[in-house]
Amino acid sequence: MSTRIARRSALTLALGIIAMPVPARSASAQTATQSVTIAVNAINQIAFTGSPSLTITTAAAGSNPTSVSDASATWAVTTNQTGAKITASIASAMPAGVTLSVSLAAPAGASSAGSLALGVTAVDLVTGITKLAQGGLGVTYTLGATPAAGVVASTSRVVTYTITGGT
Amino acid sequence: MSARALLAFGTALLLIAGNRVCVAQSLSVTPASTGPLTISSAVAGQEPTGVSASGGTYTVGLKKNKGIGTITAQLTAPLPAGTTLSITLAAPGGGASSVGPVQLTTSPQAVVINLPNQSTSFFNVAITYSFTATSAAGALALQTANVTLALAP
Repeated sequence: MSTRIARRSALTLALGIIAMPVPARSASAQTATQSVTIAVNAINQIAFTGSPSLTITTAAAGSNPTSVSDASATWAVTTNQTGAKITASIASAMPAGVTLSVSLAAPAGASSAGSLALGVTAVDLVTGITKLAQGGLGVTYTLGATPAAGVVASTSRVVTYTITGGT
Repeated sequence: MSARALLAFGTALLLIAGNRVCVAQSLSVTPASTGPLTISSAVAGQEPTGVSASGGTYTVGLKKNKGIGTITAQLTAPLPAGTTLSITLAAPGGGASSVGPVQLTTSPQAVVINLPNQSTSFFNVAITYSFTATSAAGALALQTANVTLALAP
């Protein structure tokens, strides 16, 4: 009797072992998972090309000397932020009676302030630049002078453009 | 049949089953986490500059006549809009070929093909990731993309 029970138990155990579900090692081993960490930082980049030269040489009698313009320069921008803006300034003031102005074409969706006189205090030229990459945008410089400025020897100014990131 | 014999018989069957499992194909990746892949620059007027980095290595064990010829890769969840993550698995050898950079999606895509129909293993084969983002994607805080590699017919 006890032997029969022992045999049944052993048989049950053996069958139980056979019937036990095999861990899914083969299935799980045929896949592998890897976690990749990614991120994008705030990016605000601008670039300007060209070194325009402007000379005032004429006037209509009875009027101020005729201002001149140059539209040979271009600019480009990449930002992944919302509401970035471009400001510009020059390191030293223009000679008395002489005005250097600049106008930047606005990239898609942004606004240009038009032609603004440059000074040592930065002025906002383009605002509302949002998440774009665009190049070949126009830059137009205009040089004006009054008769009181007299004859001004050749001089140069470096215009500093700054992009201020949005949010 | 004695109880001891039955136990031995059952144990033997279990070992046979165990051996069957042990000879199955295998695929592993090291390390389990990699990165970060961080985009932080751009040429003005162009989209942000993508980045690439090593993703560690993979090891694959193959068995003859198991019908495995391909390694596939997929994401477990979509990436943020305007971003892409590509993976390149170097060819392991044995006549297998790398598909080259594959832009990952949530659907499996072959990244290695023509795995040999033989019992062999290839260890520590290179993985490379490339990450791109458009300006429209905006700035993205650190986040994790889970990539699943699988052996497939």
